[in-house]
Amino acid sequence: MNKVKQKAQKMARGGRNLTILGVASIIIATMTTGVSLAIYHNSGDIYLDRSRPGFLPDEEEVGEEEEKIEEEYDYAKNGELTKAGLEEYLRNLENEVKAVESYENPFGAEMLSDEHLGITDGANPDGDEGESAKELESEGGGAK
Amino acid sequence: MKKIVFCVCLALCGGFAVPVGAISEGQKSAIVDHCEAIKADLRTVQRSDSRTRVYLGGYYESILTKYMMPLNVKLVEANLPNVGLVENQNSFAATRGKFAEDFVNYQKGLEELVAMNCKAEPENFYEKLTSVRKKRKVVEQDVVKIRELTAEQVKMVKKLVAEEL
Repeated sequence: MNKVKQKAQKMARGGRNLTILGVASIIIATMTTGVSLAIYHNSGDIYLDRSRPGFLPDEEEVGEEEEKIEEEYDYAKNGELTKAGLEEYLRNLENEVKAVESYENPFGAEMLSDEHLGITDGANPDGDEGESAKELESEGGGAK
Repeated sequence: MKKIVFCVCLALCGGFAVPVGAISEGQKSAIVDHCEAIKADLRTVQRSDSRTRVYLGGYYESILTKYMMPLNVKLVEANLPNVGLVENQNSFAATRGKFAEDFVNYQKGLEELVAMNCKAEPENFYEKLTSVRKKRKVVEQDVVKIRELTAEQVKMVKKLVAEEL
């Protein structure tokens, strides 16, 4: 009779331990996920993450990116320093500069101006909401 | 008598003065009436800025690690160190770091702005918008500075080529 009682007690303890293990696992997983998300947000990586919904690159951009990878240039750290090598360096550097300059006035004040956002006396941003959004996309967004 | 005139003038000025960056009644009602449209525009700005930041960051990284640094290493190895180019590289790296930091500050501000209830608190919304504009201006200045440093790099390398190695 005692043996049956002991067995029943053991089983009850086992079930309780399993519950504790389950709850503890959930708490630890929640905590570590919270910490990871806090780091992800506070480090600013979230603002560079374009895999977020609404921030995904368009198809065109993916194509451009592939082209860019094919055309990559590296100036060798070693080897002889020659005039021809420097001229090639300069040509490629100027291409990079051109690419940067194709972003006309990035982060310009106009995008957040009262006129652009429709925060003016008697403004009606509803009327041109769609247009305004498109305009913003093309102006601040991509290279021209 | 003079005191009375002065006090009257002061009271009148106080009554009519509008603090710098203050919001007018028309603007306040525009914010309240078109809150969602304004927020949609802000979200679009957020997205396009994020894209611009990623692309510009990539170009800056490439200019620093594939052009500036290797050239300076090569010049040192050839016993021809160029102080101007080294200084330019250091300034470029520092400004690039500042740009990344300032962009995060700006985006955090913009995120907070988008999360605000502009219908309930238009004044606070406008105040926050003004502060976000300032942060955006700082980012813009960083971009301008980086462009100047890149242009300087091109100029110095051209001079190096012209000097004949």
